Amino acid sequence: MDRIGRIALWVVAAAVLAFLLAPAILVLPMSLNSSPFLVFPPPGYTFSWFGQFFASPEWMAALQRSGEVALGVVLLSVLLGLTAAYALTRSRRQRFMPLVEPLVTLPMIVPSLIFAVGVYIVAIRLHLLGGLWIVVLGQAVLAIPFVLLNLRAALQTIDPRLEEAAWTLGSKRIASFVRITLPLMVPALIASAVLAAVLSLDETVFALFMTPDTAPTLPVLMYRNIQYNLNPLVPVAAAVMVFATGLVGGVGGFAYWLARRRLGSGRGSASMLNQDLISQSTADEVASDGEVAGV
Amino acid sequence: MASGSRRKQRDLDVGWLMTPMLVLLLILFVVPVGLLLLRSFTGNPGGLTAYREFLGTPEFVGILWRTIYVALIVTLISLAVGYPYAYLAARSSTRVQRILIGLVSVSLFLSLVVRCYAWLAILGPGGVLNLVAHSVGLNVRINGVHNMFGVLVGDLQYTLPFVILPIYDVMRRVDPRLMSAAATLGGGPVRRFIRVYLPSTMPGVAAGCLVAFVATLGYYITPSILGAPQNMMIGQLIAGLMLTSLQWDLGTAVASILLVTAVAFFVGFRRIMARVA
Amino acid sequence: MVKSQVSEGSSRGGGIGRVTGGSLQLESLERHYGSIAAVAGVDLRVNSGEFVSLLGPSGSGKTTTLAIIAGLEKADAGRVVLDDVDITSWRPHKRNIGVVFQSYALFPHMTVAENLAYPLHCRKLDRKEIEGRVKWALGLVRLEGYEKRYPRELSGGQQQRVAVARAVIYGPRLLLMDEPLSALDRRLRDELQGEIRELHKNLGMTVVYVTHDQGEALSLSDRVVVMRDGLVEQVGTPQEIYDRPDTEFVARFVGNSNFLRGTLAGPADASGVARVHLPGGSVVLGVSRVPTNSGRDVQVLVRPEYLHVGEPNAASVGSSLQVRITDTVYQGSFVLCVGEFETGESCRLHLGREEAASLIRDGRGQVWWRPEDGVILPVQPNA
Repeated sequence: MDRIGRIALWVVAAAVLAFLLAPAILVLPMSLNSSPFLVFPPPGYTFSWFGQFFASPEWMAALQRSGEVALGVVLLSVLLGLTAAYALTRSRRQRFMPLVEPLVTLPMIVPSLIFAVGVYIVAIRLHLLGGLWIVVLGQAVLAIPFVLLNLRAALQTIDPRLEEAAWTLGSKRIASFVRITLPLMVPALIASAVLAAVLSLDETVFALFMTPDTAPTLPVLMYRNIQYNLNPLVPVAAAVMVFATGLVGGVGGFAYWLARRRLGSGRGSASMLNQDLISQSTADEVASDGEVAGV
Repeated sequence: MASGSRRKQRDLDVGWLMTPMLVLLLILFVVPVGLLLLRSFTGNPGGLTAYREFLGTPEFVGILWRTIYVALIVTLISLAVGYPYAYLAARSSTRVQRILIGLVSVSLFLSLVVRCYAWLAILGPGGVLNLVAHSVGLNVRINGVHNMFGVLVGDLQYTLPFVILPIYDVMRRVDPRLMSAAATLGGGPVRRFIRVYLPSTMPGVAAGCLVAFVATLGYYITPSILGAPQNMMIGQLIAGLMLTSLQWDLGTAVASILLVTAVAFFVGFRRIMARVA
Repeated sequence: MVKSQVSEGSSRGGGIGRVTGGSLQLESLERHYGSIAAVAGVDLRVNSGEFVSLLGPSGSGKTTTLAIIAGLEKADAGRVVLDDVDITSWRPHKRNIGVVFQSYALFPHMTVAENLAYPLHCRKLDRKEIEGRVKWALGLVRLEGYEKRYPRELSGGQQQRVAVARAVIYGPRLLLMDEPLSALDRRLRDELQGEIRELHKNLGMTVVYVTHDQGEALSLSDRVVVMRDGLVEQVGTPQEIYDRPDTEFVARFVGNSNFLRGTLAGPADASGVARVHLPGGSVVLGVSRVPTNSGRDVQVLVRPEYLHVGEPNAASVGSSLQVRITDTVYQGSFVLCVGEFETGESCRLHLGREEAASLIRDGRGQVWWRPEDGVILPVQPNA
């Protein structure tokens, strides 16, 4: 590729990245802006807005609710996603499995607005609005397709024979799963949990519809305050959200990296479908066998 | 000697583990959405009245067209900008690739509300854009918010990654030898690109555009924050009808139209891809 | 749980001594997948301490049968009886059977020692016992010192040894092996075959070994079970299988063969030898494996190495034919001559250098075999 072309591409790339990441970066200075209006450059910097945010019962409650909901969503979506992924990859009844795929991808296809409206008209009849449980359930529905995809991919790389071997060696079916397959799935589980957590923390539309007058999560509260009044605490909330998702992503990413390292990459990963390993290492056998035989 | 008896039950297959998830999806997704569709027909007076009302109100139809129009534009811009980005990433070293794609993925981690709010600040009268313009001597007052421009910017935030990622994915799988082979067969670089490379990336392009288009149709938060009432999109219309004016007949009808449109696009896409393959 | 009869405290310190092999009985086993019968009615008795191979092509049902014995598959009909206990409905973890998988199935996130200790933990042995056993098991397979290694750091042969050690460490009376050597190269395979034989001799458990390699089956087993299409075709010692096959399928599967078609000329004599008319008028002899009605269509099987060149001795006069040689291949320890019998059917001979010389020189000659080296088999419509 010629130089001019390459430079042009890099300009485009830089512009795209700036475009996508600028908002995140700007949130922090905005939250420290001493002026309550959205002015740049900030006349001064102050932490007072942060102070007000953390002292405000309304905002703190919203933050807490976001955290609780996210936790619930992670637990529910990972649990259901795990069982479903296991069924998908290990079941003998493979005829039915292809039917599951379209159903699971529906929440990804259908705009979440429609999903929210649908649940709304049901929930209002059943007086389920305002509770956080319905938010957890709905966001879990949104998260499950991603979690399922992730976990299924991981399970497909794990040899089903491993559990069978454990079973013949004397541990019950579930014990075999817990001691053999589950440890091998830890990286995928972490990635799925992070995915679900971030999805839940960010999710606004469904939560909005489920809590029309009450008890909102953080992004919903933000949204309302942007709409109806120019609250100087909004940028603080934004900064907190950026920080929270960053924290989840960072911690999760680190945990993922740790878990992968422990399972070992490089020469043979956690799957042990041994055929290629064998052909690769028969040459070494000569050397190492010589070692052992000489003992 | 006892002869073997025909066994009646087999070992319970693990397939049943699928049930919890299926139940959740069924109860919380399929049923409510189905009920929504149903509701659009069972209002008062019911039948197709709501749909007729929708199609008969020029403002509503205008909103629909505007939404489609915006979605199209956003998709095209995303494609125009995203394709080169993906191309660069696919042709770079592994390290650079990871960074380029990683940063795009990271941007998805950010809440839409946060980002729209930030754009309010950037594009608004007191915002960064004006600051930058003034500092280079441009004596203008840019107002990028509460208008269509703001909406476009906001929409692009999410559609760009959704377009870039599938295209990158497809590009990554293009066999580099394909282009070398094409080179030996004669024809300039432009011709090679158009006739060989472009077609082989089409599946990713199509997938990305599909997702971007359908998603944009349903956007609600973005136009609310960054747009003005006269830029209303169909998502806001639905929300207003359902939450504010409580016109559920009409609201569910419009929502159903959006639903059917989204599904139709996806199904049509699958059919075309199957035909092409 | 079927108890493993383990004599504790053997001379190997920490290990287990000989176990009394379990007796295994399979009765009318069936397993269907839809309309296909993977196992279509298998009856088999394996005696205590025997080494039995299930030999057959892929699709013959041998692996499924093994899986049923292990409990990993459920039979649709039939029984599995181990030491006179019907374990057909027992879950695998209760059967106390050792299983070595084709892909070894070593737990990648555990060290070799942890892999070996796994079944012992399940049986609630205490730490000292476990340590001792692990040491002993590693010694069994000549991998002392490999406790802390991970499976991914081992070569194929080493992984296989760990898999075997893991399967015997808890003293099962029955060991099942599913083509454990199929992924290894020739040299390794031969070496490990010897180790398996030795292990069996020293530990004494009953072994059921699945393979599609006839050489392996013949060299390892006390008895060979030839399977085909979900059924047992023939059971016998390696020699019986090789020298006295019941059908053309078995004959072809376990070695090279020459077949001569003809019709039975009369009943078999006291030693089982009968005469066969070949088209073209010749008459040959062989041991009969078919009911002796005259005029039956039969085929005579003669192994290439049982054909001799030249004039037959007195006893073998009836079993000689003319051959024409079209190709000669030097095989190292013998010469392979390929050609045709006078009947037009193809022939293969394994000859020593001197014997081959005259045949090669003339391009044709006479060959003969001892009557007891010929086998008269039925003609199978599709063998």
